[in-house]
Amino acid sequence: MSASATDTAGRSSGGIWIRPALIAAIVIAVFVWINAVELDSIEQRLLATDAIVSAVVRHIQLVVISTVTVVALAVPAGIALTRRNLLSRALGPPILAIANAGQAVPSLGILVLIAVLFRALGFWPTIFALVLYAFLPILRNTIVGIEQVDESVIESAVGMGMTKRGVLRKIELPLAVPVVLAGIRTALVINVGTATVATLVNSGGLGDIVYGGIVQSRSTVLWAGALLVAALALAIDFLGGLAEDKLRPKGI
Amino acid sequence: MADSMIKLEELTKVYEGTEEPAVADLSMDVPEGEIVVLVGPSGCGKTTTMKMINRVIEPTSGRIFLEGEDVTSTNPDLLRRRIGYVIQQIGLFPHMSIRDNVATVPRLLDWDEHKIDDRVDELLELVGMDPGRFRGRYPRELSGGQRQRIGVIRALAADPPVMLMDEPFGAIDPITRERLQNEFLRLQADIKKTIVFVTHDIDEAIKMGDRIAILQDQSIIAQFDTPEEILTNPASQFVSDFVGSGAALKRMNLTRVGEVTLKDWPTARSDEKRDTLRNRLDDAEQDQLLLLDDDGRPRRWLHAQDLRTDDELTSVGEEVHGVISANSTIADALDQMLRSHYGTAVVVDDDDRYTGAVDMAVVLAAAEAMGQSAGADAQHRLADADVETTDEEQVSG
Amino acid sequence: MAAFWNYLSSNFDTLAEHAWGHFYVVALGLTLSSIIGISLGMLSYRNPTARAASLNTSAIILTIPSLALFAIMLTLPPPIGGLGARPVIAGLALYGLLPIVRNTIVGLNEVDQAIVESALGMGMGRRERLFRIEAPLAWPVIVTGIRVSGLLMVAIATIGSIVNGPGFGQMLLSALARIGSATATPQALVGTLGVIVFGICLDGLFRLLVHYTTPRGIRG
Repeated sequence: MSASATDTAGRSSGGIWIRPALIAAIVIAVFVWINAVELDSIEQRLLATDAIVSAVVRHIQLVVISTVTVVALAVPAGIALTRRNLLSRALGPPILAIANAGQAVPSLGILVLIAVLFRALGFWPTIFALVLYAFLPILRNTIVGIEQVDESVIESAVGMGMTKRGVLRKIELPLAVPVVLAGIRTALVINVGTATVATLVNSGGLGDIVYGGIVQSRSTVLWAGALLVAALALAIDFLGGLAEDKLRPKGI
Repeated sequence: MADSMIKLEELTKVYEGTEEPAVADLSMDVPEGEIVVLVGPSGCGKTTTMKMINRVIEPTSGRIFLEGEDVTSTNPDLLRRRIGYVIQQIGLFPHMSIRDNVATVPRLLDWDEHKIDDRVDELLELVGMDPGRFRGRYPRELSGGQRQRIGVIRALAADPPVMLMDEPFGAIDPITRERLQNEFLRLQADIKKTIVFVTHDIDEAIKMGDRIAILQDQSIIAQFDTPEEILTNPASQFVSDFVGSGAALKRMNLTRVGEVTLKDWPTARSDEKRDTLRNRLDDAEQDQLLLLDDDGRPRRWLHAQDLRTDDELTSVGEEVHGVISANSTIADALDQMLRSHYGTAVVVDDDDRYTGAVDMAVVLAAAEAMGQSAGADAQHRLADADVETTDEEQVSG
Repeated sequence: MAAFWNYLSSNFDTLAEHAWGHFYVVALGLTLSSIIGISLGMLSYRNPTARAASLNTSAIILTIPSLALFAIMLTLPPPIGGLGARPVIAGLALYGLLPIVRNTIVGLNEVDQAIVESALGMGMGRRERLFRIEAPLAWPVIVTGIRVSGLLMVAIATIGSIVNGPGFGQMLLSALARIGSATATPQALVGTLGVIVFGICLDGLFRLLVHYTTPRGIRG
């Protein structure tokens, strides 16, 4: 939902360079600033350059691994649920209803539930939580994307002698691509945010810096962490937008 | 003209980003109490011209006078409250009741609520809509024709001296359109507003206009005259091309049914004896009786064989189609005759009561008065229409 | 399952307290967000540049991870910053802007131009057209924006507990702190379900609100 709005808003402003410029400005400002001010030992530890770099790397790992996994699971599941067979007819509607209601599920709830249920903290439990949390939105977008394909287009394809598989590959999927891509981009943004909160279950990443700043009452650290994670989110959303434009079939 | 209500002086409109003006140096006087129709091909600038009068489109240069007062740069909102405005899409406010829609301008003018209530009811009655039934309804609960009537009375609400109407009957089916046009002409005979009326339809222009301005590109006036003059003496090739062939036939748009002698048709009442009716039909030159209800409204056509049955008269014979009013033109009457089974159009008054009939003889007599050629045109048209009807039947079958 | 019901019955008071806290931050955040968002939408919907600017800004805010946004709010001077509910309310108000701004702009621009033109032609001024014609007709779309934004806030408010905001998030944090103990799982479950139930209630409430505040003439 945020993705599609960013999309139209970004395009109507016309300036494709506004976002990268903003992101670069934030990152440069943060580094200039933490090098300019006097830091105490706690701040120095939290804001050491290799600490920041490894936090960024860890954050990107969390987002990329979880997004790739969830796409690999949710998109085929969504396609299966739009096939006209008995199983999908029985399961489709309730799953879509759950997926719609799923918007109210709190990400922190999923993270904590997994932690306390399995008594497990760290990187992989976090990946599991992120996949679980983003699964429903992507599943929903896939189903909606395929079902919104004009019935008459499919009919004319069948009328020309295309097989079911051919219709899916040549007609339904290409036409559904924009909606699915928008869903993936949304999942990316959601995952950057949820991965930040996951610092509470020892996932690592930029959340450590923000949370460290909160706990240690170091507003310099807090601001640096918050700005960097905001820049990362904007950058990933921006790249997602570029990929969306590139991967969208021509003519749509 | 001394008593011109609207005076346009060298009005020009150049839209942003274009070189050519949409309207160039237009000057025109609209006399008080008349309907002036702006007519021309699409894109000629007629709508732009009309919309500059209430400055919904601001002119690039030139001046506008209303009742002698220069209103080119007065407060546009106050100006618009003095001018009724009806557009093709009508634009009723869907979230407001009919009462609130009609009350829009009186409210802007701070009328007393009691006065507004009285005015709304008065206007609804004026267009034959029962205030008790319609006052509280919403636009989507009305038919197209009813919405159009509300659009007109909403424009009339604060009794403005001037009305602007942009293709007001454009989005309505042909039969309803004809009725609404007649209704509006009858209304105008009472209220005598000064009206600027835009249409692309020359037949409508001839029917509605006291004066017609035929516009070329950039709203250049090709001819500004009465309908009679335009039909008889077109000022240029452009005008005669635009009026098109059958100018003589178009003159049939100039004569109203109320102006000709109608035929008396033998009528019947449902409580009359069969014998009486049979005798009446035998004595008449026509092959049918016209059955009227208790209020004198035409109901059915009755043939000799219908009178031989014992069934209720209201259930035998055929329904009456092709009803027109005194305000219909001879062309409308001809149209309705073609639709009806017996080449006859029944004329009714404001209360839908039977007043007479129009058949081919009446049309020919009227044509005689207009000149020989129109009559010939009419007969051609009748013949053509027969062919068309057959075609249509084949298609629908 | 037994542990779940056990926990629920013996902790009903705390649950009620957290529900109230959650309601409090969402209600205030949503009110603020609606006031700011509708105003922004109304000020910018007619001008393409202003429109793009307000949409872009609120889209960027929604992209920022919520924890970062709450943390930043925390450090701001009063009346926004400081401990407790205020930074959470401020963060939620900012976070919820996009659906409201976007729906206000879309709703106002979608009003049939013939209706707007007839209002203009009858002599309604700018303000009258906006408040008497355009805004009532756009209202169902605007309320839908507020509903979406409200649901977003119900979920996000949980994260506000990390900067000490009230609500169900407190239960989740406390469950996490007692990881391994018997009550941790039921507590986390109750906290999560509390948020979901709250979201469903709010959604239903807003669907009713849309129905009853939509002018009768345009009600579907």
